[in-house]
Amino acid sequence: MPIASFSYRLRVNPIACDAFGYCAELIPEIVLRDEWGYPILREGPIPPRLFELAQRAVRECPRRALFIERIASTGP
Amino acid sequence: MAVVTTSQWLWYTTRATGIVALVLLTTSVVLGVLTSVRFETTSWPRFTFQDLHRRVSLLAVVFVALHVITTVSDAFAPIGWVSVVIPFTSPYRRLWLGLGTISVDILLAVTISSLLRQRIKPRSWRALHWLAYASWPLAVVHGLGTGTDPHLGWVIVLVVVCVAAVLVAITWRLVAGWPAHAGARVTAASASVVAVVALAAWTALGPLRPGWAVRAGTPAALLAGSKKAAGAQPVSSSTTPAPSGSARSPATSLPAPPYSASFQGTVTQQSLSSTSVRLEIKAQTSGALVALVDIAIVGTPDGSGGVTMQESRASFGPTGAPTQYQGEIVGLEGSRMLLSLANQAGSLLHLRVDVTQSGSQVSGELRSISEIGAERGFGDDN
Amino acid sequence: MTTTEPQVAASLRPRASRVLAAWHETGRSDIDGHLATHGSMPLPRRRDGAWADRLVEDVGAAGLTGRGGAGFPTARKLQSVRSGHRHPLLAVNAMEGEPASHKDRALLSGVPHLVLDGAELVATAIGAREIAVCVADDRNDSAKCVRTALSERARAGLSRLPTRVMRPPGRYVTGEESALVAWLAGGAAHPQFRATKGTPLTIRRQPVLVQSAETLAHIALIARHGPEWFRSVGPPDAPGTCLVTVSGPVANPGVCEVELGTPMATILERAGITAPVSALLVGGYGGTWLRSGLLHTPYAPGPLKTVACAVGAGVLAAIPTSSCGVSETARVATYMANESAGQCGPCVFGLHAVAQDLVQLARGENDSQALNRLTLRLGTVEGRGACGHPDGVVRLVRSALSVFAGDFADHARHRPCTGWNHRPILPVPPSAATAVGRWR
Repeated sequence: MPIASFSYRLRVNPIACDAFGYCAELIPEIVLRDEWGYPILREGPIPPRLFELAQRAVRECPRRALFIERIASTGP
Repeated sequence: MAVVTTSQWLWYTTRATGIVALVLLTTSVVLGVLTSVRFETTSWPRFTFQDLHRRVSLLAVVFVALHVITTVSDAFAPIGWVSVVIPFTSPYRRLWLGLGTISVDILLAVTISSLLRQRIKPRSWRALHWLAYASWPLAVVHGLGTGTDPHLGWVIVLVVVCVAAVLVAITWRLVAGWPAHAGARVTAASASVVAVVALAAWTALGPLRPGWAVRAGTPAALLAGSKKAAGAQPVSSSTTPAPSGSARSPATSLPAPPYSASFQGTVTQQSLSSTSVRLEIKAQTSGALVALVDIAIVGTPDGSGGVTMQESRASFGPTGAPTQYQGEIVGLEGSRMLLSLANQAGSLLHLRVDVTQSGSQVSGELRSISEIGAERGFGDDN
Repeated sequence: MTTTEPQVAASLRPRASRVLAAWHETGRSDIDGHLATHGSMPLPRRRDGAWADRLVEDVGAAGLTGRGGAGFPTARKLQSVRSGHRHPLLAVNAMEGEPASHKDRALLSGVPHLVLDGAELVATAIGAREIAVCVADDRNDSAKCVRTALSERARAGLSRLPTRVMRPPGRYVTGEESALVAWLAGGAAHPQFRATKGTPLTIRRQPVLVQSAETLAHIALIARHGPEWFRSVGPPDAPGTCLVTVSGPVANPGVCEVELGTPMATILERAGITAPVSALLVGGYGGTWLRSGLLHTPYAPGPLKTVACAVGAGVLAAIPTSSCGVSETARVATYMANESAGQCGPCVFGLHAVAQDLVQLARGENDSQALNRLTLRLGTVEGRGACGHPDGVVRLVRSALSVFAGDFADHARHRPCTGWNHRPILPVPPSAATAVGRWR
C-alpha cells in the first residue's frame, strides 16, 4: 500500500516489453498504446485509487516489463 | 479382457481423473496459445485469457494429482511413488506409464516455475514453459498406452477432439507472426504433422488391437486367468517380472492353468436334520499356488460313514479372493471329486480333488483339468 | 564508405596542437616520436593512493568533459568507479560507430601512445588491473596500429597493466556505453535498460569504466602539464581543445584539433570552403542541423545549446547549397533505423516509419499527410527507447524540418527543391535492418 508521504510512478522497461497490452487493458487511465501496440505512459504519479490496479498490471505483464517506481514527494 | 480387482472404485477414479486431466490439459494448451497470439474479443480482453489459462492449468494439476494418487494407492497394479517421478521404473506397462511420468515431471517443473515467476529470470521461465509443449503429447500417448479404455468409442472420440483442438491451436501459433523465425516455424510444423500421423498409426495398430495389455507390458499376474488371454498358454515371464511387493497385498488372481498343488485343511460335519448332514471341507493349498478351497456336501448318511450327496457347493480362489470361482461337485467317487466352477465373468474351471481324511484333518491334492472326461484318469485309478 | 588511411589534416597546424602534437611535429606515430614530443609518462613506481587522488583532482580542476558524446564531467566519472570494493575494468571506447567521424582512427594511427598513456594513468588511478581497448571488428588498420604500439611499449618496458585489444561488432549502437559493456560481458552488443540514469555499469559485479580514446589522450596531457595548462585555451566553462571531423565542400576534409570556443565558420574556413554551405550537421547522425546563417556560433557546449546543438561526436558535416537537405536527412534516417538494436518496439517500428515517410518525401512520392504524420510520429518515438538512439534521430529530423522547411514544403507539394544536385554528401555505410530481436 502506498505510504502517505510518497508517490509512485508506473514505468516500463522497453527492452522487455513485447506489446501484449494487458497494462493498457487493466489501467487505461495511465497506459495508452501507440500505433504499434507499445505502451505510452502518462506523466505524473499514480492516483492512489488506481494503485492496486497498477500493482495488478505489474503482476500480469507476461514479460515483467512494467514496474512501479517510488518518486520523492517533493518534486525535483 | 477381464481384469479383476478388489479396489474397483480406486481404479475407476484413476481412469476418470486421467480422462478429465487430459481434457483440462488440452484446454490449458489451447488457452496458452491464445495468449501467445494475443487473442481477444470485444467482451474478452487479452488479459482474461492469461487468467483463464492459469486457472485451468491449476485445475488440471489437481486432477493429475488425483489421478496419480489413486493409481499409486490402488494395490492392484504395482505402481509405487518412485514411478511417479522417475520414468520407466514401474513393472506395470513400463514404457507407457513412464511417458506419463515424464509428462508429470514436466508439469511439475512448469507449475512450480510459474508459481515462482516473479522470482526467476524471465528467460529461464520462458524456456521451461516451452517444455509444456512436450508434456501434452506425452500425456496423450500415456493415456492411450496405459489406459484400459481406448476401445471405448467415446474415449476415442474425446482423444480425437483433443488432438484436433491442439493441432488447430499449434497451427495458429505458427502462423501468427509469420515470417519471423521462419525456419523454426517450419520445423515445428513438420514435426507436429509427423507426430500426429505417427500417433494415429500407432493408436490403430497398438492400443486398439486386441492383446494390447500383454504387449504393453501388463504383469502376468494381473492378466485374467482366462483361456482367451494369452492363448491358454502359460504366460512367459519375459514380458515383465512378477509384481514386486506382492508381499504387501494378498494374491488376487490365479495363474493360468494347468496347475496342481497339495492342500491341507479341516473337515467338519454338521447335522441339519435327522436325515441330512452337511460336510464342509476347508483347505489351503501350499507351494507355488496359494489358494483356498471350500467344499460343502449336503446329503444323507449311508450308514457306513460316507454320505450320499444330494447337493453340493464349492468355491476356489486365491487367498485375496477365495470365492473367485464358485460351483459344485459334478463327479464323486470315493475320495476323488470333480469340481466344475466358474468365475463372475463366466470362465470355467475344472478341478480334480483327491482327499485323504484323518479325523478332522484333511489333506490331498488338487489339479486343474481342461475338460471333464478328457482325462483318462477318471474311472481308473492312477 | 572508405576504410583506407585516416584523413588527418596534417597540413593544418592550428594554434594549439596538443593531442595531435606528436603527429604534427614529428610526422611519426611510434614510441620515439611520442616520447620526444611529450616526455615520459608520469606514473608512480608503486601503488600510490595520494597520486591517484591528485590525478582525479587535476582532471576535475581542468574541467575536462567526456569527448565521447555525452559531455559528462570526467573527474566525477572517475570518482564514481573508485569508491567500490572490486577492481574495475577500464574499457577504451575507440569504436567510432559514427560514420561521419574519423577521430578515433586519427588518434589510433597518429598518436596511439598518447591514448595508451591516458589509459594506463586512468587505470592506475581507479585501481583497475586490466585494460580493454575496443576497436570495431571492421577497423583492422586501427587494431593493427594499437597492437604495434602495445608491442613497442612492452619492449620499452612501459606497459604495467595487461592491455587487450577487443573487437566488438562495428555497428552504430555498439559504441554506446551499456552496449559495449554488454558485449564485453559475453552477450550481444545491445544497449541495456537502466531504470535510473547513470546507474554504474558492471560485468557480473565488476564495475566498468568506459572512456573514449580522445578523453584519455587529454588526460595523458593533463597529467604531464597540469590543469592550468589545460585551461590556458578555450573559454572558462569549456576549456581545452577537442578533435572535430570536418566534411563536405571543403578542400581539406578530415580530423583537426580545435580550441573550444572557435566559431564554426572559422573551423570551416581553415578547412578551406570550396562551395557555399547550405547547412551544417553538428554532432553526428544523432545530432542537429544548423542553418548557414548561424555558423558564426562558437563551438562550445554553452553557445551550441542556444542554437539547439551539441558537441556530440565532434562531427561538423557541411552540405552545399546545391544538395538537398531532405534527401540527405532521409538517407541518414534510413541508416539509423537499420542500425537500431531491435530491442524496443517504438524504436524499431517508429524509426522505420519515420525513415519511410522521409524517403517518400525526398522522392516526391509522398501523400498529403506525410508531414503531419512525421511530426506526430516524432513525438511518439521520442524518449520511449531504452537508449538514446531514437531520441537522436528525432532530434535530427526535427532540426531538418526546421532548417530545411522550405525544401520540405516543396517536396510535400511534389515540386523540385533548391537542391538540384542530389549527389549524396553525407557518408552512409550500407546497412541492412537487424532482424527483430527475440523469440515471439
